[in-house]
Amino acid sequence: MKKNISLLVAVLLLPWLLYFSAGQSWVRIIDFSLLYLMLSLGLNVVVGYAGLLDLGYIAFFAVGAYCYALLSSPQFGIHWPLLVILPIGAVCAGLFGVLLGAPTLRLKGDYLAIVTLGFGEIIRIFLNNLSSPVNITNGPQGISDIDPLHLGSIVFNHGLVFGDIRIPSVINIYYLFLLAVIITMIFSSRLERSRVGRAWMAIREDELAASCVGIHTKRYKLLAFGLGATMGGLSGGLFAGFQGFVSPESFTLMESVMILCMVVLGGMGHIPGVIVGSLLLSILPEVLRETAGWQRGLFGQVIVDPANLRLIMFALALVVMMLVRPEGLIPSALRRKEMQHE
Amino acid sequence: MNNLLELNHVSKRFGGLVALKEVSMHIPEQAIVGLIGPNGAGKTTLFNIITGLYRPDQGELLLRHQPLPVGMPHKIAQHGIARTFQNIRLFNNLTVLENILVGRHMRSQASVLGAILNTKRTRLEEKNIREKALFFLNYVGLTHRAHDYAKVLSYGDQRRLEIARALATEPQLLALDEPAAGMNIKERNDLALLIQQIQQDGTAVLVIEHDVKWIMSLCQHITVLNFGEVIAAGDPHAVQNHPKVIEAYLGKGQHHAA
Ligand SMILES: Nc1ncnc2c1ncn2[C@@H]1O[C@H](COP(=O)(O)OP(=O)(O)OP(=O)(O)O)[C@@H](O)[C@H]1O
Ligand SMILES: [Mg+2]
Repeated sequence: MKKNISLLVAVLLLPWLLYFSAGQSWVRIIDFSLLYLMLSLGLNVVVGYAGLLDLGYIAFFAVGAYCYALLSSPQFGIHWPLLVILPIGAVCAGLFGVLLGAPTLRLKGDYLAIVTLGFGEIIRIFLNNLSSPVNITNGPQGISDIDPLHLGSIVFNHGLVFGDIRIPSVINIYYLFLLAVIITMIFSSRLERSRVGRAWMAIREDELAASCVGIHTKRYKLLAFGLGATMGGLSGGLFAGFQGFVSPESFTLMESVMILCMVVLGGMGHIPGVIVGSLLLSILPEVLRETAGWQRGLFGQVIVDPANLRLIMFALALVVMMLVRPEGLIPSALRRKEMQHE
Repeated sequence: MNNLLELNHVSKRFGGLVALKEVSMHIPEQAIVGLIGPNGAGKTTLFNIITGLYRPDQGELLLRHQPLPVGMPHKIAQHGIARTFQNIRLFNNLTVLENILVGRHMRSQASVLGAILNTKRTRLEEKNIREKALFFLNYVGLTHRAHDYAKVLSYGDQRRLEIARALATEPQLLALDEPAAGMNIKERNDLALLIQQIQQDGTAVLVIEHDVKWIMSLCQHITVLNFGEVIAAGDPHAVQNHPKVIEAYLGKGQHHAA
């Protein structure tokens, strides 16, 4: 308990420390990494618990983001409040999850991965082309001037002033996202230890044996797709409100792969692992970006483009991990115990 | 005695191969029924039909005179038929206890909402699931392995765990596909005792086994399959002396070489 409280205090103080030591851009990076964390938690339900390899997960993030964008921007002149559109986005994404999951119920492993990959791309291509004959998504230009995240008169995207204290916008957003992450985390961990979570894991381990103990496997697979997508949609809504702008470019296959890496790197199906994986992989690229400056300082020019360096590091990290720690960086206590036995 | 399960003229083909041909048999309430026959006779296929993994091409299955849903394993489990597999199928990366907790799935209700909100009802139910799981763990004598991974258990213990998982669904019929395979004499004897205990506690057992002596001493009733057909059925003594059974077991490979 004491440990938990000190952890909470540390997490609450973190943005301030970063803000004063490294500057506001780093807090912004952490804000984004919280969104990635939510996405990873959602994908973890599908891949980690139910064992369904989904390579199109970013589509649900896109659905959530576009729901938010369409319902609170000049695009249609609709400006609904946050507490209405966030749930709408999440539910829409969840429905898409079920809809896209339904045709894949008979597929497994590689086949499932390929089909979900295709579905993910289809959604992105739709967003890219739904600008004519009726302009819905505004095509590749995307939707801009999206309303900021706000509750009544509190606008999270702006700084808040309480007497003498001014809370910078990035820190407001941090707290908002942190709240969303904590809620998602509580939900996932409760699911994990429930009858529902056990049914998922049984399906992951042996679908046929699971059905023979009375688990309606199709229903539980759809449930995993739907709930995972809901979490992705929620994250997408927050993303749209934070950025003020969405376009299909943000939702490429590379992003799906990235989130999958986050889930796998830390230790699939185990929340602390997912946290470490997603924070590492979302913050590391930004650290690598700094290397451009160092390279210029050292060699007078940028030798390796940081974006490429990032991919090289990813590949290296995954290969090394598969060799050294196939169970993930932070495997569950049980898994660790077992590894010692062997 | 009343029949728990009745199969009438059940047939199953795989392409040109007739795996089961007009098989009729019945399992009385609370009996131990043996199913024997040479390799490839169709025993496992019959199990797969009873438990809904395959749909029969023909014939009907009646559970207490009611038609059993075909081809829907989870529905059949809910009707009270549980099984184990010839090649053990446990949830390997779950613990022994978790395997049995999963077995309680259809005896509990918690939904996503109940789980997320962690309602009082969910917590009570969860407590109940755990107690029941521990009971079945103890029933098969695996309490000391509760927190080990299923996959690290010995072969014999894995078989017992699979039985415990099936029992946790509180079935009326427990179907065991070669539960004694790969066990030593002591394990076999213990298994026979366990099966008798299960029967005494009110569950009928259908068991496949190659060891004729073992199964003869265990069962009140035996059905013999050969090339997908029932060639004999009845009490162990009568079956053992049935000319077709003797021929199937001794003359195997000579009479049916074509
Ligand atoms: N899914 C399937 N597809 C095609 N043929 C099958 C299938 N399942 C079983 N068979 C065939 O049906 C026949 C009966 O097989 P089954 O597994 O039921 O035999 P068995 O009596 O259980 O044998 P064993 O004692 O070796 O376990 C065999 O010839 C087998 O090859
Ligand atoms: Mg068999």
